[in-house]
Amino acid sequence: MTRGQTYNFAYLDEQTKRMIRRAILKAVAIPGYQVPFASREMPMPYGWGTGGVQVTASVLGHDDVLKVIDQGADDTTNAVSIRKFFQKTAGVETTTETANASVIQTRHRIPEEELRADQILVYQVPIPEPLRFLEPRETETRTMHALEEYGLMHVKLYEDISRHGHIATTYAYPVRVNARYIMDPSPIPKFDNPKMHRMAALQLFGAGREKRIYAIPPYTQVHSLDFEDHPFEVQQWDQACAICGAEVSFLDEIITDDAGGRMFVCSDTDFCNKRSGSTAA
Amino acid sequence: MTLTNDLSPGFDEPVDGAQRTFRAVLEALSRPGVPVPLAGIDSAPAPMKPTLAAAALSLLDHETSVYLAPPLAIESVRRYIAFHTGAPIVSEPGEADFVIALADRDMPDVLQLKAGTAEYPDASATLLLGISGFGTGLPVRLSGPGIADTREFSSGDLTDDFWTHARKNHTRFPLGIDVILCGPESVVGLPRSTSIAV
Repeated sequence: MTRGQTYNFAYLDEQTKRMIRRAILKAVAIPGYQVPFASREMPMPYGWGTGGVQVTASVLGHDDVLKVIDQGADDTTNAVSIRKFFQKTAGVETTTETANASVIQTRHRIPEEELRADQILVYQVPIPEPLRFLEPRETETRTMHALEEYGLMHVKLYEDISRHGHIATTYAYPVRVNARYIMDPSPIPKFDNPKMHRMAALQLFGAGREKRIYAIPPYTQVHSLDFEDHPFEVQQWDQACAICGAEVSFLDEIITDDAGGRMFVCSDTDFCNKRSGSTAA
Repeated sequence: MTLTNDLSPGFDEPVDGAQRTFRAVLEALSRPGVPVPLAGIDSAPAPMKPTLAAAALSLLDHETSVYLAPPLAIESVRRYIAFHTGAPIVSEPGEADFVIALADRDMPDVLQLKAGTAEYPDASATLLLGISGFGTGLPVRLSGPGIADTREFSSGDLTDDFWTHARKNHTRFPLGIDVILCGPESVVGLPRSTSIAV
């Protein structure tokens, strides 16, 4: 694929890339800490992954193979448009197969297939601050992180238990990284949280509107917050995937008619296609 | 006024060169203690090492202040850095965002460099340190983020003093500096998150 000659490689100018690259290196050195960066306006609206796109653009090289997923799927609008964006501006090879990708940009899922040490996972993040809905002032949350003052988050989880009998947070479930910073893993289902713990691949997080970059280096401890008497648990289903029969994957509920018909299928389309022998997508 | 053309070139391919160098440095900081191959800039003025020059040119620009340690604080290197990066050169190591030094000569005290603040630990210095090689000298044992279990690392250029300071650097986490060791053909990362045992 040749790239449009009117763009610098991967759209961003070199000074912007350097600024983002410096932020990424700080993020890797301080796992879970949100590094402020001078987020640029991108040719797509906030909320469409501008943070992830800027991180990917700064990391990407000619020999990378890029995969983009949106809620696990390679063929939904957000994934298709970002993949095309990098085909056009960087001319890099793209793939839908998790195993073939060197850089994977994701919106709200971690692939089912275990990631390797030679891969980089880039998350799109809407609200990077895990304490934001508990404390709206940035000056306060920054001090709370500085002092490791995280009691408020445990109170929030405790209120879940007192109201619902269990921790009702199901996505963007807060984690503690390397026993120091509390971090928002982006709105991935809590089903995916255990995959972050000691993952072999480097994980980078970009929040465009909120202008923050953070990271989890390979093999880093990622602990989902919980209580001794209410340990962290992931979602479970009574069904298997209706297409490939998988019993270990994250399932989406699909409404099939207006008479209560429904089916459960894998959210990770590449994983599902591989298992069912389909060549689609 | 005379024009001199003794200025050495930077990357052959500025966009690719900077990207490849950044990826090597990123890999190095993500996996502390592992030498990551990096093709440097051979034409950089001595005593600047090729990988040290590549790291500097890929990360520095007008937004980052830089301190050149004594053996590098010479006119040819200053002009090289000034021309290719535009980074303001400062005379106090404690004020710099980036410190470029050679391990075997006049190394600045790691603990005197900018370590960030509790609210902004990222407002800290990065030390780009040229060394002559890895695998010699007394090994240290590294552990922490980026390391699956523990990892042995050694370099004959790094003194006991350096390791003492590097250990102290880690104890003030999340404050501290990050070190990128630039060897003849590879780079090694020692971020502040890495715990060091002798």
